[in-house]
Amino acid sequence: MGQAFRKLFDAFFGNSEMRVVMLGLDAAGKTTILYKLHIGEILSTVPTIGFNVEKVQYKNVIFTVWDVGGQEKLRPLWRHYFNNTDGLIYVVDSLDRERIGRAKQEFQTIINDPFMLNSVILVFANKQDLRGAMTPMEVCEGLGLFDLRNRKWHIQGTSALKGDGLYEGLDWLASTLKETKASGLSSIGTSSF
Amino acid sequence: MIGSSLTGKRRLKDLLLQKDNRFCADCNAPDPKWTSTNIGVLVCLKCCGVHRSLGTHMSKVILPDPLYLWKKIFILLICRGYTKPGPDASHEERAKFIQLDMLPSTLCTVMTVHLLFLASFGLFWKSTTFMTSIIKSNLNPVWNEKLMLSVPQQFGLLDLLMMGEAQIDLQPLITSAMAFGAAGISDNMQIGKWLRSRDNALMRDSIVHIINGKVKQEMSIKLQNVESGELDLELEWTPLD
Repeated sequence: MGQAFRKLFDAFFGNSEMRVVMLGLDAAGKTTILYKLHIGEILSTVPTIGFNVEKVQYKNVIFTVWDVGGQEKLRPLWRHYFNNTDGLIYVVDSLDRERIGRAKQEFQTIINDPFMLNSVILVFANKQDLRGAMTPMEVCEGLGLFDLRNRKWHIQGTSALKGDGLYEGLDWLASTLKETKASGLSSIGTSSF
Repeated sequence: MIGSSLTGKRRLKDLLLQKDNRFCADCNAPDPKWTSTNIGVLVCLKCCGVHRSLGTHMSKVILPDPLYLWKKIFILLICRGYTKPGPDASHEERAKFIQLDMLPSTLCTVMTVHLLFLASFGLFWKSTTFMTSIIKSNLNPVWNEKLMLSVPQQFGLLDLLMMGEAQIDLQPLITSAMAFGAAGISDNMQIGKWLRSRDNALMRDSIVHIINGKVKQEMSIKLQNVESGELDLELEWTPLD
Protein backbone atom coordinates (compact mmCIF):
# COMPACT_ATOMS: atom_id res chain seq x y z
CA MET A 1 0.00 0.00 0.00
CA GLY A 2 2.77 2.38 1.01
CA GLN A 3 4.55 1.42 -2.14
CA ALA A 4 1.54 2.33 -4.19
CA PHE A 5 1.27 5.75 -2.57
CA ARG A 6 4.94 6.31 -3.09
CA LYS A 7 4.56 5.56 -6.75
CA LEU A 8 1.57 7.85 -6.98
CA PHE A 9 3.46 10.60 -5.19
CA ASP A 10 6.49 10.20 -7.42
CA ALA A 11 4.36 10.27 -10.47
CA PHE A 12 3.09 13.71 -9.63
CA PHE A 13 5.87 15.35 -7.63
CA GLY A 14 9.04 13.29 -7.83
CA ASN A 15 11.41 12.72 -10.67
CA SER A 16 10.10 10.41 -13.27
CA GLU A 17 12.18 8.65 -15.83
CA MET A 18 11.56 8.30 -19.46
CA ARG A 19 13.42 6.20 -21.95
CA VAL A 20 13.70 7.94 -25.27
CA VAL A 21 15.27 6.72 -28.46
CA MET A 22 16.46 9.30 -30.95
CA LEU A 23 16.52 8.21 -34.56
CA GLY A 24 16.79 9.78 -37.97
CA LEU A 25 18.79 9.60 -41.18
CA ASP A 26 22.52 10.16 -41.10
CA ALA A 27 23.74 13.73 -40.63
CA ALA A 28 20.36 14.89 -39.35
CA GLY A 29 21.96 16.22 -36.15
CA LYS A 30 21.05 13.59 -33.55
CA THR A 31 24.38 13.50 -31.77
CA THR A 32 24.66 17.28 -31.84
CA ILE A 33 21.20 17.54 -30.26
CA LEU A 34 22.08 14.95 -27.62
CA TYR A 35 25.18 16.80 -26.50
CA LYS A 36 23.51 20.18 -26.72
CA LEU A 37 20.88 18.84 -24.30
CA HIS A 38 23.36 17.05 -22.10
CA ILE A 39 26.12 19.61 -21.66
CA GLY A 40 24.69 22.62 -23.40
CA GLU A 41 27.55 22.85 -25.87
CA ILE A 42 28.10 22.13 -29.51
CA LEU A 43 30.62 19.37 -29.82
CA SER A 44 32.28 18.54 -33.07
CA THR A 45 30.84 15.17 -33.84
CA VAL A 46 31.82 12.36 -36.14
CA PRO A 47 29.32 9.91 -37.59
CA THR A 48 27.94 7.71 -34.86
CA ILE A 49 28.79 4.06 -35.21
CA GLY A 50 26.68 2.24 -32.64
CA PHE A 51 25.04 4.62 -30.21
CA ASN A 52 25.48 7.33 -27.59
CA VAL A 53 23.40 7.32 -24.46
CA GLU A 54 23.08 10.21 -22.01
CA LYS A 55 20.74 11.16 -19.20
CA VAL A 56 19.17 14.55 -19.60
CA GLN A 57 17.22 16.03 -16.76
CA TYR A 58 14.63 18.60 -17.66
CA LYS A 59 12.18 19.92 -15.12
CA ASN A 60 11.49 16.81 -13.07
CA VAL A 61 11.83 14.27 -15.76
CA ILE A 62 15.01 12.34 -16.38
CA PHE A 63 15.23 11.45 -20.03
CA THR A 64 17.50 8.60 -20.92
CA VAL A 65 18.22 9.45 -24.50
CA TRP A 66 19.60 6.82 -26.83
CA ASP A 67 21.13 8.35 -29.91
CA VAL A 68 21.57 5.65 -32.51
CA GLY A 69 23.72 6.00 -35.63
CA GLY A 70 21.72 6.78 -38.72
CA GLN A 71 23.96 5.50 -41.50
CA GLU A 72 22.15 3.39 -44.03
CA LYS A 73 24.03 0.30 -42.92
CA LEU A 74 23.13 0.85 -39.28
CA ARG A 75 19.42 1.33 -39.76
CA PRO A 76 18.53 -2.38 -39.54
CA LEU A 77 19.90 -2.25 -35.98
CA TRP A 78 17.43 0.41 -34.87
CA ARG A 79 14.75 -2.08 -33.91
CA HIS A 80 16.94 -3.47 -31.15
CA TYR A 81 16.47 -0.20 -29.32
CA PHE A 82 12.69 -0.18 -29.55
CA ASN A 83 11.85 -2.38 -26.57
CA ASN A 84 10.73 -0.51 -23.44
CA THR A 85 10.80 2.82 -25.16
CA ASP A 86 8.43 5.53 -23.96
CA GLY A 87 9.16 8.03 -26.62
CA LEU A 88 10.67 8.42 -30.03
CA ILE A 89 12.50 11.54 -31.10
CA TYR A 90 12.77 11.51 -34.87
CA VAL A 91 15.24 14.03 -36.20
CA VAL A 92 14.89 15.28 -39.76
CA ASP A 93 17.39 17.39 -41.68
CA SER A 94 15.01 20.09 -42.91
CA LEU A 95 17.46 21.13 -45.60
CA ASP A 96 17.65 17.72 -47.18
CA ARG A 97 14.67 17.80 -49.50
CA GLU A 98 16.08 14.99 -51.58
CA ARG A 99 15.91 12.48 -48.79
CA ILE A 100 12.63 13.43 -47.15
CA GLY A 101 11.04 10.47 -48.92
CA ARG A 102 13.64 8.17 -47.47
CA ALA A 103 13.10 9.76 -44.05
CA LYS A 104 9.39 9.06 -44.34
CA GLN A 105 10.01 5.44 -45.26
CA GLU A 106 12.25 4.85 -42.24
CA PHE A 107 9.87 6.77 -40.00
CA GLN A 108 6.89 4.69 -40.99
CA THR A 109 8.86 1.49 -40.43
CA ILE A 110 9.76 2.61 -36.92
CA ILE A 111 6.35 3.71 -35.77
CA ASN A 112 4.63 0.65 -37.14
CA ASP A 113 6.95 -1.68 -35.26
CA PRO A 114 5.00 -3.65 -32.61
CA PHE A 115 7.30 -2.40 -29.86
CA MET A 116 6.74 1.22 -30.80
CA LEU A 117 2.96 1.22 -31.02
CA ASN A 118 2.57 2.83 -27.58
CA SER A 119 5.36 5.33 -27.73
CA VAL A 120 4.77 9.01 -28.20
CA ILE A 121 6.38 10.63 -31.22
CA LEU A 122 8.32 13.85 -31.22
CA VAL A 123 9.66 15.04 -34.54
CA PHE A 124 12.48 17.55 -34.63
CA ALA A 125 12.60 19.43 -37.93
CA ASN A 126 16.24 20.30 -37.40
CA LYS A 127 18.54 22.85 -39.06
CA GLN A 128 15.88 25.54 -39.11
CA ASP A 129 18.65 28.13 -38.82
CA LEU A 130 19.78 27.40 -42.39
CA ARG A 131 18.39 29.28 -45.32
CA GLY A 132 16.11 27.22 -47.54
CA ALA A 133 15.13 24.76 -44.84
CA MET A 134 11.73 23.12 -45.06
CA THR A 135 9.25 24.49 -42.54
CA PRO A 136 8.00 22.13 -39.81
CA MET A 137 4.73 22.05 -41.75
CA GLU A 138 6.48 20.78 -44.88
CA VAL A 139 8.38 18.18 -42.87
CA CYS A 140 5.05 17.15 -41.35
CA GLU A 141 3.63 16.53 -44.77
CA GLY A 142 6.81 14.89 -45.95
CA LEU A 143 6.72 12.32 -43.18
CA GLY A 144 2.99 11.70 -43.49
CA LEU A 145 2.30 12.74 -39.91
CA PHE A 146 -1.19 13.92 -40.72
CA ASP A 147 -2.22 10.41 -41.65
CA LEU A 148 -1.34 9.01 -38.23
CA ARG A 149 -4.27 7.72 -36.27
CA ASN A 150 -4.41 7.11 -32.53
CA ARG A 151 -0.87 8.30 -31.98
CA LYS A 152 0.39 11.14 -29.90
CA TRP A 153 2.76 13.19 -31.96
CA HIS A 154 4.24 16.62 -32.05
CA ILE A 155 6.50 18.40 -34.48
CA GLN A 156 9.00 21.01 -33.41
CA GLY A 157 11.23 23.16 -35.56
CA THR A 158 14.68 23.14 -34.00
CA SER A 159 18.17 24.41 -34.47
CA ALA A 160 20.59 22.22 -32.59
CA LEU A 161 23.37 24.76 -33.07
CA LYS A 162 21.41 27.58 -31.49
CA GLY A 163 19.51 25.31 -29.14
CA ASP A 164 16.17 26.64 -30.36
CA GLY A 165 13.15 24.44 -29.90
CA LEU A 166 14.91 21.57 -28.14
CA TYR A 167 13.49 22.29 -24.71
CA GLU A 168 10.07 23.07 -26.13
CA GLY A 169 10.16 19.57 -27.54
CA LEU A 170 11.19 18.06 -24.22
CA ASP A 171 8.42 20.06 -22.56
CA TRP A 172 5.91 18.39 -24.78
CA LEU A 173 7.46 14.96 -24.14
CA ALA A 174 7.40 15.50 -20.38
CA SER A 175 3.81 16.68 -20.23
CA THR A 176 2.62 13.96 -22.58
CA LEU A 177 4.44 11.38 -20.52
CA LYS A 178 2.71 12.63 -17.39
CA GLU A 179 -0.68 12.51 -19.03
CA THR A 180 -0.08 8.98 -20.21
CA LYS A 181 1.12 7.97 -16.80
CA ALA A 182 -1.79 9.60 -15.06
CA SER A 183 -4.29 7.92 -17.29
CA GLY A 184 -2.41 4.66 -16.86
CA LEU A 185 -2.62 5.02 -13.07
CA SER A 186 -6.31 5.72 -13.01
CA SER A 187 -7.32 2.97 -15.35
CA ILE A 188 -4.96 0.14 -14.47
CA GLY A 189 -4.01 1.10 -10.96
CA THR A 190 -0.26 0.72 -11.35
CA SER A 191 2.09 2.52 -13.54
CA SER A 192 3.13 0.57 -16.52
CA PHE A 193 6.43 2.42 -16.70
CA MET B 1 38.03 8.51 -63.90
CA ILE B 2 34.99 8.96 -66.07
CA GLY B 3 32.42 6.27 -65.47
CA SER B 4 32.64 3.36 -67.81
CA SER B 5 30.07 0.71 -68.46
CA LEU B 6 31.19 -1.36 -65.50
CA THR B 7 28.75 -2.20 -62.76
CA GLY B 8 28.51 0.14 -59.79
CA LYS B 9 30.18 -2.27 -57.45
CA ARG B 10 33.14 -2.79 -59.70
CA ARG B 11 33.39 0.89 -60.49
CA LEU B 12 33.43 1.79 -56.82
CA LYS B 13 36.09 -0.78 -56.16
CA ASP B 14 38.21 0.63 -58.96
CA LEU B 15 37.78 4.12 -57.60
CA LEU B 16 38.79 3.08 -54.12
CA LEU B 17 41.93 1.54 -55.52
CA GLN B 18 43.01 4.71 -57.32
CA LYS B 19 46.16 6.24 -55.99
CA ASP B 20 44.53 9.55 -55.13
CA ASN B 21 41.73 7.86 -53.26
CA ARG B 22 43.98 5.97 -50.89
CA PHE B 23 44.36 9.09 -48.77
CA CYS B 24 41.87 11.49 -47.23
CA ALA B 25 41.35 14.35 -49.67
CA ASP B 26 41.52 16.88 -46.86
CA CYS B 27 44.14 15.70 -44.41
CA ASN B 28 46.03 12.91 -46.19
CA ALA B 29 45.13 10.32 -43.57
CA PRO B 30 45.46 6.88 -45.12
CA ASP B 31 42.55 4.68 -46.07
CA PRO B 32 39.62 7.09 -46.13
CA LYS B 33 36.24 5.38 -45.97
CA TRP B 34 33.75 8.22 -46.19
CA THR B 35 32.56 9.58 -49.48
CA SER B 36 31.25 12.99 -50.27
CA THR B 37 28.93 12.10 -53.10
CA ASN B 38 28.36 15.59 -54.44
CA ILE B 39 31.98 16.72 -54.31
CA GLY B 40 33.40 13.37 -55.28
CA VAL B 41 36.17 12.92 -52.74
CA LEU B 42 37.00 10.36 -50.11
CA VAL B 43 37.67 11.65 -46.63
CA CYS B 44 38.53 10.19 -43.24
CA LEU B 45 36.16 9.93 -40.30
CA LYS B 46 37.35 13.15 -38.65
CA CYS B 47 37.11 15.23 -41.82
CA CYS B 48 33.76 13.60 -42.46
CA GLY B 49 32.58 15.18 -39.21
CA VAL B 50 33.55 18.60 -40.55
CA HIS B 51 31.88 17.96 -43.89
CA ARG B 52 28.68 16.97 -42.15
CA SER B 53 28.71 20.01 -39.92
CA LEU B 54 28.65 22.20 -43.04
CA GLY B 55 25.29 20.70 -43.91
CA THR B 56 24.10 18.33 -46.59
CA HIS B 57 23.67 21.21 -49.02
CA MET B 58 27.47 21.60 -49.08
CA SER B 59 28.63 18.04 -48.82
CA LYS B 60 26.69 14.81 -48.68
CA VAL B 61 28.86 12.32 -46.89
CA ILE B 62 28.03 8.66 -46.81
CA LEU B 63 29.75 5.46 -45.95
CA PRO B 64 29.69 3.82 -49.34
CA ASP B 65 28.04 0.47 -49.51
CA PRO B 66 29.59 -1.65 -52.23
CA LEU B 67 26.15 -2.05 -53.68
CA TYR B 68 25.49 1.64 -53.70
CA LEU B 69 25.60 2.95 -57.23
CA TRP B 70 27.19 6.27 -57.75
CA LYS B 71 24.85 8.27 -59.85
CA LYS B 72 27.60 10.32 -61.31
CA ILE B 73 31.29 9.93 -61.25
CA PHE B 74 32.90 13.30 -61.52
CA ILE B 75 36.30 14.12 -62.75
CA LEU B 76 38.07 14.85 -59.54
CA LEU B 77 39.56 18.26 -59.58
CA ILE B 78 41.08 18.42 -56.21
CA CYS B 79 42.02 22.01 -55.96
CA ARG B 80 44.58 22.71 -53.31
CA GLY B 81 46.63 25.85 -53.21
CA TYR B 82 47.90 25.50 -49.68
CA THR B 83 49.05 22.80 -47.31
CA LYS B 84 46.60 20.29 -46.04
CA PRO B 85 46.23 19.60 -42.35
CA GLY B 86 47.85 16.32 -41.28
CA PRO B 87 45.98 13.27 -40.04
CA ASP B 88 46.62 14.40 -36.46
CA ALA B 89 45.26 17.89 -37.00
CA SER B 90 42.71 19.25 -34.58
CA HIS B 91 39.09 19.72 -35.48
CA GLU B 92 39.62 23.47 -35.84
CA GLU B 93 42.48 23.13 -38.30
CA ARG B 94 40.48 20.71 -40.38
CA ALA B 95 37.37 22.85 -40.26
CA LYS B 96 39.35 25.90 -41.36
CA PHE B 97 40.85 24.08 -44.29
CA ILE B 98 37.67 22.38 -45.41
CA GLN B 99 35.57 25.51 -45.12
CA LEU B 100 38.10 27.53 -47.07
CA ASP B 101 37.98 24.79 -49.58
CA MET B 102 34.27 25.06 -50.05
CA LEU B 103 33.92 28.82 -50.01
CA PRO B 104 32.32 29.92 -53.25
CA SER B 105 35.12 32.37 -54.03
CA THR B 106 37.88 29.81 -53.64
CA LEU B 107 36.07 27.10 -55.50
CA CYS B 108 35.73 29.25 -58.59
CA THR B 109 37.27 26.98 -61.15
CA VAL B 110 37.86 28.85 -64.32
CA MET B 111 39.07 26.73 -67.14
CA THR B 112 40.02 27.47 -70.66
CA VAL B 113 39.32 24.78 -73.13
CA HIS B 114 39.72 25.58 -76.77
CA LEU B 115 37.33 23.57 -78.75
CA LEU B 116 37.90 23.45 -82.41
CA PHE B 117 34.91 22.38 -84.32
CA LEU B 118 35.05 20.78 -87.61
CA ALA B 119 31.75 21.05 -89.25
CA SER B 120 31.27 18.02 -91.35
CA PHE B 121 28.07 18.38 -93.19
CA GLY B 122 26.22 15.39 -94.35
CA LEU B 123 28.07 13.04 -92.03
CA PHE B 124 26.12 10.97 -89.62
CA TRP B 125 26.38 12.44 -86.15
CA LYS B 126 27.28 10.14 -83.35
CA SER B 127 27.45 11.07 -79.71
CA THR B 128 31.09 11.29 -78.76
CA THR B 129 32.84 12.02 -75.54
CA PHE B 130 36.06 13.97 -75.28
CA MET B 131 38.08 14.45 -72.19
CA THR B 132 40.63 17.01 -71.23
CA SER B 133 43.57 16.16 -69.01
CA ILE B 134 43.05 16.28 -65.28
CA ILE B 135 44.74 19.12 -63.50
CA LYS B 136 45.39 18.63 -59.85
CA SER B 137 46.42 20.92 -57.04
CA ASN B 138 45.10 24.01 -58.72
CA LEU B 139 42.12 26.16 -57.89
CA ASN B 140 42.22 27.90 -61.25
CA PRO B 141 43.28 25.24 -63.69
CA VAL B 142 43.97 26.28 -67.26
CA TRP B 143 43.60 23.48 -69.74
CA ASN B 144 44.41 25.30 -72.91
CA GLU B 145 43.64 22.21 -74.90
CA LYS B 146 42.03 21.84 -78.26
CA LEU B 147 39.32 19.28 -78.73
CA MET B 148 37.98 18.64 -82.16
CA LEU B 149 34.40 17.63 -82.74
CA SER B 150 32.55 17.05 -85.95
CA VAL B 151 29.12 18.55 -85.90
CA PRO B 152 26.27 18.28 -88.39
CA GLN B 153 24.37 21.29 -89.60
CA GLN B 154 21.57 20.77 -87.14
CA PHE B 155 23.07 20.25 -83.76
CA GLY B 156 21.52 20.46 -80.35
CA LEU B 157 23.31 20.84 -77.11
CA LEU B 158 26.85 20.02 -76.13
CA ASP B 159 27.21 18.65 -72.61
CA LEU B 160 30.15 19.56 -70.47
CA LEU B 161 30.76 17.53 -67.37
CA MET B 162 33.26 18.32 -64.68
CA MET B 163 32.73 19.06 -61.02
CA GLY B 164 29.59 20.77 -62.15
CA GLU B 165 28.01 20.48 -65.51
CA ALA B 166 26.93 22.82 -68.25
CA GLN B 167 25.21 22.69 -71.56
CA ILE B 168 26.23 24.70 -74.56
CA ASP B 169 24.01 25.44 -77.48
CA LEU B 170 26.12 25.23 -80.61
CA GLN B 171 23.36 26.31 -82.92
CA PRO B 172 24.09 30.10 -82.82
CA LEU B 173 27.66 29.46 -83.90
CA ILE B 174 26.76 27.04 -86.64
CA THR B 175 23.93 29.14 -88.01
CA SER B 176 25.86 32.39 -88.08
CA ALA B 177 28.92 30.69 -89.47
CA MET B 178 26.85 29.13 -92.22
CA ALA B 179 25.37 32.49 -93.11
CA PHE B 180 28.55 34.52 -93.08
CA GLY B 181 31.52 32.22 -92.97
CA ALA B 182 31.03 31.00 -96.49
CA ALA B 183 30.93 34.51 -97.85
CA GLY B 184 34.63 34.86 -97.14
CA ILE B 185 34.53 38.07 -95.21
CA SER B 186 37.98 38.88 -93.96
CA ASP B 187 37.17 41.91 -91.79
CA ASN B 188 36.77 41.44 -88.08
CA MET B 189 33.12 41.74 -87.21
CA GLN B 190 30.39 40.48 -84.99
CA ILE B 191 28.09 38.08 -86.77
CA GLY B 192 25.93 36.50 -84.11
CA LYS B 193 25.01 36.42 -80.53
CA TRP B 194 23.83 33.88 -78.00
CA LEU B 195 21.91 35.82 -75.43
CA ARG B 196 22.19 35.16 -71.76
CA SER B 197 18.88 34.06 -70.33
CA ARG B 198 17.44 32.33 -67.35
CA ASP B 199 17.39 28.93 -68.98
CA ASN B 200 21.00 28.87 -70.08
CA ALA B 201 24.17 28.89 -68.06
CA LEU B 202 25.86 31.89 -69.69
CA MET B 203 27.53 34.45 -67.45
CA ARG B 204 27.15 37.11 -70.12
CA ASP B 205 26.01 37.32 -73.72
CA SER B 206 28.22 35.24 -75.92
CA ILE B 207 29.18 36.82 -79.22
CA VAL B 208 30.16 35.12 -82.44
CA HIS B 209 32.95 37.02 -84.18
CA ILE B 210 34.85 36.74 -87.35
CA ILE B 211 38.48 37.27 -86.42
CA ASN B 212 41.04 37.10 -89.20
CA GLY B 213 38.68 35.13 -91.35
CA LYS B 214 37.89 32.59 -88.65
CA VAL B 215 34.54 32.18 -86.98
CA LYS B 216 34.99 32.25 -83.24
CA GLN B 217 32.74 32.37 -80.26
CA GLU B 218 33.85 33.07 -76.72
CA MET B 219 31.72 32.14 -73.78
CA SER B 220 31.81 32.13 -70.02
CA ILE B 221 29.62 29.53 -68.46
CA LYS B 222 28.48 29.12 -64.93
CA LEU B 223 28.68 25.49 -63.92
CA GLN B 224 25.41 23.97 -62.81
CA ASN B 225 24.70 21.64 -59.91
CA VAL B 226 27.74 22.82 -58.01
CA GLU B 227 28.26 25.58 -55.47
CA SER B 228 30.20 27.76 -57.86
CA GLY B 229 32.55 27.55 -60.76
CA GLU B 230 33.03 29.15 -64.12
CA LEU B 231 34.33 27.86 -67.37
CA ASP B 232 35.75 29.94 -70.18
CA LEU B 233 35.50 28.42 -73.61
CA GLU B 234 36.46 29.50 -77.06
CA LEU B 235 34.75 27.80 -79.95
CA GLU B 236 36.07 27.98 -83.45
CA TRP B 237 34.22 26.81 -86.49
CA THR B 238 36.00 25.44 -89.51
CA PRO B 239 34.22 24.20 -92.61
CA LEU B 240 35.47 20.89 -93.92
CA ASP B 241 36.12 21.89 -97.48
